[in-house]
Amino acid sequence: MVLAIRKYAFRLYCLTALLLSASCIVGQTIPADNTVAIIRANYLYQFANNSDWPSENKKGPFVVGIIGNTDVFDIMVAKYASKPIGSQLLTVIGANEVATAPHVHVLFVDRSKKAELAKYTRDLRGVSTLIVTNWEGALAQGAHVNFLSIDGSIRFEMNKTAMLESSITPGVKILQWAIQ
Amino acid sequence: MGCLLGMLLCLFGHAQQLPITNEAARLCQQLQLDAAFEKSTESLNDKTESADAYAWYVNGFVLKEIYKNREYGLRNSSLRTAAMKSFATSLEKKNAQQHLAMTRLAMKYLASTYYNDALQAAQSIAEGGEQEANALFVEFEKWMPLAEPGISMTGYKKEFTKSIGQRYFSLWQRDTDNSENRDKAIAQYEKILKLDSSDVDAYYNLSVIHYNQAVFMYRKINHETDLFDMMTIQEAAAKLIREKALPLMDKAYALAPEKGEVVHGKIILHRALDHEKDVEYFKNEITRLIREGKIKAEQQK
Repeated sequence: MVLAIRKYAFRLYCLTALLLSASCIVGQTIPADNTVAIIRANYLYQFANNSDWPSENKKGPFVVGIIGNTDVFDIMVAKYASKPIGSQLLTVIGANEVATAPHVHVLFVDRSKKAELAKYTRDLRGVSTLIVTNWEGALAQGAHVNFLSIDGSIRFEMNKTAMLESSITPGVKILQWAIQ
Repeated sequence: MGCLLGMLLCLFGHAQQLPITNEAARLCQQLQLDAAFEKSTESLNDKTESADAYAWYVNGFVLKEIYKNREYGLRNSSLRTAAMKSFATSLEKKNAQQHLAMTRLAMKYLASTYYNDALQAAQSIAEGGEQEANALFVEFEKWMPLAEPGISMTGYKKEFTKSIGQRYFSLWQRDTDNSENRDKAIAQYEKILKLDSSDVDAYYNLSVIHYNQAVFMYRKINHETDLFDMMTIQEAAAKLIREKALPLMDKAYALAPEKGEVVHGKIILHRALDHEKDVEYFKNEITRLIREGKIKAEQQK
């Protein structure tokens, strides 16, 4: 009888002490960075920095338009906006501004806006705008540069002839790393 | 003070045989802990009383009460150690059986404090110093089976190891260029998998570590990064995700296909590898799990 009473008292203490233990473990958080967007944004910057545009396009801001991919847009703005491209400063614009911009040097059309590529290639015919895409078969549809995914790495293929027809000269580094 | 009531009641049961011990119990009941300790020590110096398990039990109990009053939370408390030794001695006496249940409960309480202290020490590990946490856990491992014979320690060991892993992970997040803490975190989660090869959290956390390592590499890419360097970084980071992070997340998913964090992890990893169809599939899985009430809506990101 005596033992039972003491037992009860101790049990309370035991429970109190053990309660602490369960709450100490916290799960690890997985970062939400869109790493593919980080790479694509850097490529767009590299294309801008390692290609040559006609002299009439070397005045005012260097404009990069992003269609259909907010992650790429956000990273371009955060990391590359206002960085110099030759004597120009890089400016990033979205779809609405692309329609009214006097000139867009690089235009990225995401696969989510695949259907709009035809309109852009038509509107930009004869204009020195480098059109970059990210889906299979886009070069045949008029893109100059197209991103490909190879084992999780983003690479690119290019239509050099189409670029030269738009009076954009790819630099050695771009040519060197393009998938042939 | 229910415990002290118990002590008092116990006192009557032993009044004839163990006068010094019972006086110690009475003083303890009156919260005269120093006097109780003195009396209890005296009882242990008495040949007759020290041969009785109850004398050691009371001594352990008094020490435990002093510990609770004065040294609770003090990780290197000598009072706690002394209390445990007295309880252990009580268990070795011929009449240990008479006080077995109470002695074990008291030991379980103190063992629990070792465990809690070990977890807290694990969360305050500074660079390269897990000795204190390990030492406290060793004490817990030593005493808990005495307090509760037959208890499985695997769950506690896993939880403690996860706690250390989490701490090293946090230290690594503060200084991502220092790979030492990352490697130590990995080692902890691998240790858990040796204990239990079906631990979903360990697979998930290992996957997250490798993925984060890749993300930290990607984050360094900026306008100053040369094209060649960018591609080199990308190759290394993608390989890390493809060959380490994703297979581990696959194992977590195989074990827990309806766990929100794991499915979300699959989305993130496949997105990093530009696996568009897989991303869509697991996004649909998240939608289904929410619809079926298996995970909460805020897990859909």
